[in-house]
Amino acid sequence: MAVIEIKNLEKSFGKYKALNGVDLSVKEGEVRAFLGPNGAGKSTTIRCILGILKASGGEVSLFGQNAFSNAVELHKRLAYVPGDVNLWNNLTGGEVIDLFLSLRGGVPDEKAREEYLQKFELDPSKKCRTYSKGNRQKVALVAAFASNADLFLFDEPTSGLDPLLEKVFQDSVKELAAKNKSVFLSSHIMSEVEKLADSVSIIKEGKIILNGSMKDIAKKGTTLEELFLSEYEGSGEA
Amino acid sequence: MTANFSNYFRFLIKRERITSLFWILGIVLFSGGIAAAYPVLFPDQEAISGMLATLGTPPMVAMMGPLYGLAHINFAILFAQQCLMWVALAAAIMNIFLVVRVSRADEELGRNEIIASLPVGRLTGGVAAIVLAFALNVLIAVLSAFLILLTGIEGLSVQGAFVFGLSIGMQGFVFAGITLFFAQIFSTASAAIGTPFAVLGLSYILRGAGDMMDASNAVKVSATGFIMADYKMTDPLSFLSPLGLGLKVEAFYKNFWWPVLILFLEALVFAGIALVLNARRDIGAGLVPAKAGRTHGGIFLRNPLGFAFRLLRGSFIGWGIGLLLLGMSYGSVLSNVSTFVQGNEMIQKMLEASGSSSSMENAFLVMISVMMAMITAIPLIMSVNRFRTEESHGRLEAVFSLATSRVGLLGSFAFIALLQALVLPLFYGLGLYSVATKSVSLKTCIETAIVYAPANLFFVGLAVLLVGCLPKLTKLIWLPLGYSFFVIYFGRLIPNMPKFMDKLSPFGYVPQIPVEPFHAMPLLVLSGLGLLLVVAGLIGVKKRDIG
Repeated sequence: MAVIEIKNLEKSFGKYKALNGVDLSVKEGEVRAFLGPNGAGKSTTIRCILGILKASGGEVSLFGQNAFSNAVELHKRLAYVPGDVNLWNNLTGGEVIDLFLSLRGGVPDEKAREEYLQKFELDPSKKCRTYSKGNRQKVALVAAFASNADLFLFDEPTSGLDPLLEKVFQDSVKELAAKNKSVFLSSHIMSEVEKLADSVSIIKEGKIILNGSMKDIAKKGTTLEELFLSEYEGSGEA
Repeated sequence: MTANFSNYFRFLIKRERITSLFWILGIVLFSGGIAAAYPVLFPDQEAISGMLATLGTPPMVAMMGPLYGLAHINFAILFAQQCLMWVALAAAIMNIFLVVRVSRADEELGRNEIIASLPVGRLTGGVAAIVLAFALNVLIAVLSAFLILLTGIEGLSVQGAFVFGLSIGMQGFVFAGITLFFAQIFSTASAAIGTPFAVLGLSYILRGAGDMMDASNAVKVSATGFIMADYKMTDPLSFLSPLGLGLKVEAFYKNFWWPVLILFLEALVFAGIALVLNARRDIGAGLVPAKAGRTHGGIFLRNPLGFAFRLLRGSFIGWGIGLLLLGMSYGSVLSNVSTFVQGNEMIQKMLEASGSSSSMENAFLVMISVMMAMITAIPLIMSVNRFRTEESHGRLEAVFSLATSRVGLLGSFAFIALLQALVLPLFYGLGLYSVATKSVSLKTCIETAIVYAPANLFFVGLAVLLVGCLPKLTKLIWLPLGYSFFVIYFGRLIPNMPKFMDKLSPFGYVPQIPVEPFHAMPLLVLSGLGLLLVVAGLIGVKKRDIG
């Protein structure tokens, strides 16, 4: 059974069609990368997966259930890290992590929380107003990794992290994969995707233009970056 | 739809505890403190009669609220008559800010998205916001009731104290519901704050119009020119307005409970509609879609002054329209004063005896112009503080990474505020004149409006000084303005208020034309000091950290 199953997803904002037929799936234990330039519809797709936006057409299901109507139940098994994390000035990082962990339900795993706080070198005693973008992102990352979710959604999660912490992120995702967790990773960093992903989906102007496995891409003898650029530039000429 | 409510609600309380504590303490201590002050402010029957005479005319009723229980007057009734509406106004403002903060502001900033990714129901946020508002309003109601009872002033009753408190709390709750409603309609927090404020202003105007009608009928019957006895309060306009309805409780006299109940039901209706809308829309979206923006920066966005103006444009226009409407509504009160004076022989004789046939109009004109001037101070201060808001949201970093000078940018915000201090009075002056053409000349309207501009220049200076030199204390600017409201508006009703208290506010130095003669000197001094403070603030901003 696919963990994420999206069929012909459409989403319009007034007259503007942000998604125009998105098809993709993420299997259990799979790490799938989600590529596309800014404005192609990556975040809109993720918001539909989260049931924050209601699809205008097509279907989104998680663990075999409708992502919109069963959002609450499904979110108990899901962890999400947005690219642009906005937090509350007067709460500390630790308070926010606990908030997220407790809102997800179950008993927070104190050991995992401590482990990831150390891995990401985050001081949880500081108020969020003092955090940089990277630190705010770390708050969301710790809250995600310390959970025992089955599906992890990352929307450009490392855009504010330094190379060392990016490595920590990559190792943590590899651990998830080893535990047979499913990961859906939207990213602009090709090297990161090549290291982590089993498969890749590329979106352009609200449509998926390529769903493929990393092995197939490697067989063609091209790097991911070459493939990405040729998909875009090639069709640009046509 | 409301999964995980208790967890989320606890989190809301944690987030809001400090801000709410300050609001609640402020409101409760204000009402308790004023109640305790009544026996001191009005030591004898003469003082009380004097104030009732001032309040007992239709225009004053329009501004301050209706009179009741005149045959059994005591301190508790006096206090409730004069303070209930103002405290309710403060409670309404608290609710508007609270509800937007925990609903639309969270959505606009994208914080809500990460909450929505958790197993939290689609309506958890909306229901939690309205439950929190209800709890805080009840807390205000109960605490103020207890505090007022503690003052032990003459005429108190337990029922009166609770009907007083709950009238305030439920008026606040109505505005929580109205705000939650508008937070669904509009996709930005500023629109979700602006519209309930407009409704609040409209409620005040409607109530004024309705209460004035009632009072005018009472005066016609009494034929003495002043309200001498209780009268019927039946005008429908006052019932339409939450502020008008709240005053119908007649606290410490009849102690009616039905207005409290109606207010509560009104709040539930608004909240219910809001939640239905909330359940049906996308997160982040409003029912009124945001328009497609420009693809290029217009001519404004080329220098700091244009940038500042672009940021403040909406509020400039909004306040201009608001002040125009307020001016027009007071204009209609003013023309009512003259027909009322002309149609009443008794009062004409009285006024002739006192030397001036138009003194009642002029006294009223002084009262509204100082009131309008203090209201005008609000947008001026907000314009200056916008610099600080942008800064604390981290949005000035990028601006200052360009070739932008700090003095240039803060100076631009200050310049616009100074411009507003001169332009906004024209709006209400013209509004006043447009309706009261027969009662007052255009020259008088403009003069009485603009004469307070120097006092507002002083406030602009004070705001720039705080933003420039003491950015963490920016919000303290509201204290002297609040003090001015209290001492100028309320204080002038109180016969034995010490004179120096007036002089602690810049508005106290402005000559009260047309009742008093005009003096240029205090105005020049106020303007000069204001400009000096602006310069000091601009020097300060060069030296401090940004962020």
